[in-house]
Amino acid sequence: MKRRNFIRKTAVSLASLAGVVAVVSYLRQFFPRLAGGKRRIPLGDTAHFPVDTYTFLEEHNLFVYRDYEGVKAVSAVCTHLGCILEKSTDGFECPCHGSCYNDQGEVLSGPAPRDLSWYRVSRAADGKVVIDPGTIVSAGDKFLTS
Amino acid sequence: MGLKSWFTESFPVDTDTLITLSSEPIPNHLKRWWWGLGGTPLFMFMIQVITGLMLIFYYIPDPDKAYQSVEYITYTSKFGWLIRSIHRWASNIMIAALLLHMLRVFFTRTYRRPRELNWMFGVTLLILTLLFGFTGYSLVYEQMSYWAMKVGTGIAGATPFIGPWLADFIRGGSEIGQNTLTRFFLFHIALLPFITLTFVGLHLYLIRTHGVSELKFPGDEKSSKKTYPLFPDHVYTELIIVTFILILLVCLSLLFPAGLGEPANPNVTPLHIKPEWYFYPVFRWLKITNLRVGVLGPIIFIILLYLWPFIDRFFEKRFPDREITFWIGLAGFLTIMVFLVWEIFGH
Repeated sequence: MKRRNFIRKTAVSLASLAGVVAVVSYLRQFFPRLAGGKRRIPLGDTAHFPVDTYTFLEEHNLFVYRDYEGVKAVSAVCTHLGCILEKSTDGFECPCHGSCYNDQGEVLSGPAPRDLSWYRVSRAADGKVVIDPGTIVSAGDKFLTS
Repeated sequence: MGLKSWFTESFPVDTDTLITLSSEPIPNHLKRWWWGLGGTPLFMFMIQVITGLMLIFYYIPDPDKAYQSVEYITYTSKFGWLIRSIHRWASNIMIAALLLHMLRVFFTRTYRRPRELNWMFGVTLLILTLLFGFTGYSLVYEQMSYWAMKVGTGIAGATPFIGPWLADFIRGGSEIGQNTLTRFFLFHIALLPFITLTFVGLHLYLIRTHGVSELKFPGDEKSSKKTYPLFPDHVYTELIIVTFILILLVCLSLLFPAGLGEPANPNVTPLHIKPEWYFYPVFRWLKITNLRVGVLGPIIFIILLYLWPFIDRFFEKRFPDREITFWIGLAGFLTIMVFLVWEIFGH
């Protein structure tokens, strides 16, 4: 290869590479930095929650269940396409595409691909009872209050 | 120098060429008004551009202010309710006319060689129009808007391979919020119109290049002329359709003006929520299938629609005596209609 051709091809290759890098870097602009990990939700005094009842925490899209042993928390977000569930007599129902879950959050019918997530309820270092949406536990796992 | 000669000198356009261009001979079957339905979506698009521009004067793409700005347009600004109602009804008529136009093209098989690419441009225009509808009613930021965005971006997120990337791009983050509304606004008023105009241009250019496909109807043999001029004859037909649609549009806007639902609440999904009618078949499909099939179904349907001219040719070669493609098309159309009616009356 002649020196002139070599220099020309190298220059074109380097310019193309720089162009690709510039475009790819620019495309990243369309993807803003996502928020960090999920923050813990303080529950306050658990005695305020009615016994044997699923209480909807609207701001956090989850249900808190309390019985005489303790409390547990389940996601109120349908695993299908993210609609907020309604409490039905024996479970949860999605108003969008009709998925039904039982009280344990298990899918009974409809297009939902998986069961609802239960979140860990625990006592934080400062003594407050908190829900940790970043930690999934089993449906039977509850924070013992008695 | 007279004004006319000054203008001719400054703007040297050959009028003879213009007359030749606008008087393109077109086949006689286009005298039947229903063949002019392809022009209706284009006319509706023009109405959308004008009324849309008027709405932008007051609309604020901010989650805290969007609903109030639409409320202001609807109940306070002068004739705002009428402009918004025409914008809303024109979008419905645009989609309905586009679907009828596509059905006509489909069942008369005018997508065949050499018009395959133009059929594909037409399918692209249908998708773009549906995206206009989706982004448009999301901007109102009422309950239906918010949950349509939620479900819509959820579907995008479940797309194989590119799903999470696509959903984050559309939302501008992991949740619906300011970035999402800004992006939907940008898509609705800038990106989609630009792409749509490009494809409309390509669609019209190919119609002009290939010419309108010629079809024979009983009675056409009697006429000695096979064609008639686009201007003014066919333009008259289009004008009659346009006049009728304008009357229909104003009547619908007066009798059923665009209302306003509850403001968006990210924490409460309303009971029995439904999208606009043109998404009913997909909505019903999502209810009766699991998520993967629910998302793959419409994608496969769109791919088949794009490739239909080639599928048609394959079947024609394989089974020349049977009209298999007609029956497949009819079955597909009836299935969509069943899903539509099922969603209208079903729970």
